[in-house]
Amino acid sequence: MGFCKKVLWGIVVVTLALFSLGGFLVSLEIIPRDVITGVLTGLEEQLLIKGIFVSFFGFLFVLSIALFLSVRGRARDAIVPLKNPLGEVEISQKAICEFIQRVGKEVEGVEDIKVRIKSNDEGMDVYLVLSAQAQGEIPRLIDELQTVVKNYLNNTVGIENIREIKVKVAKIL
Amino acid sequence: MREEGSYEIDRKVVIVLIKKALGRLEGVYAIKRGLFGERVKVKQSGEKIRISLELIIKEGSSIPQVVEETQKEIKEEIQKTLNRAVDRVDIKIKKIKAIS
Repeated sequence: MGFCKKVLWGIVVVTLALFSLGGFLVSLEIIPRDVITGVLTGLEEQLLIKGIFVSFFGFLFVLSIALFLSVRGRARDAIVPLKNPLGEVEISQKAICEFIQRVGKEVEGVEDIKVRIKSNDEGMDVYLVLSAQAQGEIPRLIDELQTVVKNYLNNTVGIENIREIKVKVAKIL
Repeated sequence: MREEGSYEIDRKVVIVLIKKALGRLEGVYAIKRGLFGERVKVKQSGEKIRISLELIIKEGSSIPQVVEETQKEIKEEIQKTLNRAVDRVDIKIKKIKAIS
C-alpha cells in the first residue's frame, strides 16, 4: 500500500474513531447533548465554518467511495495457480498483466498495449489491444508479439498451457 | 505463535528468519507490505509450521525456479534455527518488478 493510501486510511480511521468516541460519550451523557447541538448550530451559522464542514464531509464521502473501490479492486484481483510440491503458489493476474504489458512494449513497432487475461483449469487466454506504429507489416508485428508473450509466459512465469493469444489492433499511429 | 513445550516463538522472529533466507536469493525483490507490515502469515498446527507470504519478484528470473528456491531456503532456515519442521510455504506473487 502506498504512502498516500495509508494517509487516507489514517484519516478515515481517525475520523471514525472520533465520531465513535463522541457518540459513546454523548450516549453516556458525559457530554450533554445540548452542548454538542449548541456548538454545531453555533458553528454552522458562520459561513466559513459551514464551508469547511461541507468540504470536510464531501471529502470523507469521496474518500469512502475511493477506498471501497480500491478494496473491491484488490478482492477482484484473481490469481493464477502454479504447480509446486512445496506449497501453494499463486500469481496475481494484475502482476501478469503488468508484466505482459512491459514485455510487449519492448517489441519494436508496439506503441502501447492493453492486456486482459482469463485463466481457468483448462488454460489461459490472453487478450491484447494493440496500438502499433505505422511502420513495417502489422501481421509480422502481431506474430512477433504473440511469440514474445508466449515465450515469456512459458519460460519466465512458468505458465505452460496458454490456449490463445488474441490481438486486436486498435490504433495505428 | 505458541509452542506446546517450554517456549514460544513470536511471528516477528519467523519474519526475521524469512527475510534472512530471502536475502540470499537473487530473484526476490521484497515481501509485499500491507497496512500493518509485511504480508506474512505464520500458523502452527501441531509440531509443524505453515507459512504464507506475498512476494514481489524481480523480472528476468524464471518464476517457478525462484519460488522453489525461496520455499527451500525458508524451510531450511527455519528448520535449522528453530528446529521446527515447516509443513508448507505458500507464496502469492503480487508483482513482477522491472529492474533497470
